[in-house]
Formats: sequence, structure tokens, C-alpha cells
Amino acid sequence: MLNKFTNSRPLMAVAAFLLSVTMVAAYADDDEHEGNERSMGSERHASRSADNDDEGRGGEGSSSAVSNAKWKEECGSCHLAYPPRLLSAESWRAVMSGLDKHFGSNASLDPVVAAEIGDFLEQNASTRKHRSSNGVEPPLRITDTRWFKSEHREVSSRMWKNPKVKSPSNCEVCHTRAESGSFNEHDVRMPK
Amino acid sequence: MLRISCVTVLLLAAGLAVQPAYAESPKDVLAALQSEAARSTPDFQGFSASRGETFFKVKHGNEWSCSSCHTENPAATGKHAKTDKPIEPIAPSANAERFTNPKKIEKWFKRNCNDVLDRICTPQEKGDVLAYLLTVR
Repeated sequence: MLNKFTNSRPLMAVAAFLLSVTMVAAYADDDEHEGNERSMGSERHASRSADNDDEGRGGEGSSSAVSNAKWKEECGSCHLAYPPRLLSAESWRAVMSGLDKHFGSNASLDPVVAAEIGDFLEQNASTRKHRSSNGVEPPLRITDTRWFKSEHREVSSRMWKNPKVKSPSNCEVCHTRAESGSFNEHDVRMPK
Repeated sequence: MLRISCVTVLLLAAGLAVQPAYAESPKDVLAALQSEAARSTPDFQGFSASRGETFFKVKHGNEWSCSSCHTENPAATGKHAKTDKPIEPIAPSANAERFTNPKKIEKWFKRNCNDVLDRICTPQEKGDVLAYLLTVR
């Protein structure tokens, strides 16, 4: 019996080890699992080429939309996680440095998380000139960019006032695939 | 015999890996808040679900209450008061993930209390609200 007990010790140790490993894995997953795609390095520049034109018209970039788990979770909790290519790096830097006064809300983040998201946004930001606005530079709102205004010039003022739209920042009301980063015109469905 | 029990332990370990494991349960979180409140509130007399419900539903001098986004029914899907973005139910009975991740709990109490009260919430307030949310079926 004693002998048997001694022999089973290593097995017990393995069991305990396995148990601890699975528990740790589960906790770590809980922390992150809201972000479906956890890419950063490898896909970071995937849409660089797509950035060279209006995403609204051709829909380029829709299949290679960049993602980052923390960006998706932190930015996407209260509103659509706006794709980095919709603003310039200067704009993103300004947005990220003013999170304590984020359009009426204190959206401050843990500094490590903020740094990762800021890096992701800037690395994948637009380099196009028309991401500037006609007013204060750099624009903090995508809707203030000349690009946004030009892309939406055919949208009637009545549509903007539609209660289902509520605000021009609610991309996903009309752009049915906005959540996956696609703003292809073919996916646009205006609410009634 | 011992060997068999070891196999059982191994199977158990494998089984646990399949289950969704949360860092803490809402009850653990409530217990932690309880000791925090007992430490920081001199005349602490426990949490009250009804006080928590009132706290949840009324405004505190600002434009929003908790229920502005989470709705009057914490078991229902909420909607961000400004952006309309859907918010998963806040009541643990309707959403098993709620109040299981201490980092998330801390982050959202901080953010939302700032929006609703212009300050952070006390352990008493947080505990009252969680006590209320745990009564919602």
C-alpha cells in the first residue's frame, strides 16, 4: 500500500499541474475574450494598401480589415470601434491624449492598454490629406473630416435627423457591415 | 484504488478546462465589497438591495442614471444613452459573465460612476447595487 502511494505521487503532481494550467488559461481568456480577433503584429499593416482610396466606394480593405483585441473591447463598448483608417495618426494621437474628456465622458484607460491601442490606431491610420477638416486641426471627429462630408454629401438632412440614425457617428445603422470594418456602398441600407 | 482516484482527478481537470471558468463569482465579488465596506465605513450595517435599486434607478444630479443605459430592467439588453450601442444585460441571472472579472468591474464602476455621479462610488453604493442586481431574476 505504501508502495502504491509512493508511486501515485507523480501522477497526482501531474494532475495538479494540469489543473492549474487549465485554470490559468481560463482566467486569461476571460480577460480578453470580448475581442474576437486578437491580432496585432501580423495583421497590423494589412490594410495599408486599402488606405489609398475611399473605403466607402470601392470597399477595398473590407476583407483585410485590421483588428486588435483591446481596441475592439475598449473602443467598441460604447460605440462602434471606428477603424483606424478613418482618421490620421495626428487625429488619433489627439483623441487618445484626451480620453479623460472624450465627447462628454471620462473614458480614461489603463496606461498600458491606452499605449497599445494608440499604437494600433496610429500604425494603421490614414495618410490621406482629406482626413483633415476645414476647422480645427487635427479633427477629433471622423464626421468633421472633409472625406466624411464628401462621402455623405448625397445623404439628405432628413435622413440625418431620422431617430434611428440619431447621430452621424452611428455608422452601423446604414452601413450594415460596419462592425466588421466594411463600409462598402453595396451594404448600405437606409432606415425607413 | 489510489490510482483510480488519480485518474478521476485528471478527468476532473480536463472537465474543468471545458467549462467556462470565471475568475470570481458575483457572490465572491459581493463578499469582497462587504469586507471593503466594513473597513472603510465606520457604521457599516450591510448592503441593502432596495437601496441599491433606488440608487440604480434615480439620477444623481447628472443627466444619466444607471438605468439610462442599462434600462429599468437589469435583466434586459441595455442601450447606450448617447450612441444607442446595445449593452448586454447587467444582471448576473441574465448574463453569466457579469461581475466575474475584478478588473472589468473596477473599470466600469469607475467610468459609469463618473458619468452618473461625477465621482467614484463608495464600497457601500457598489455593494448595494450588486445586492440589488443579484435579486433580479
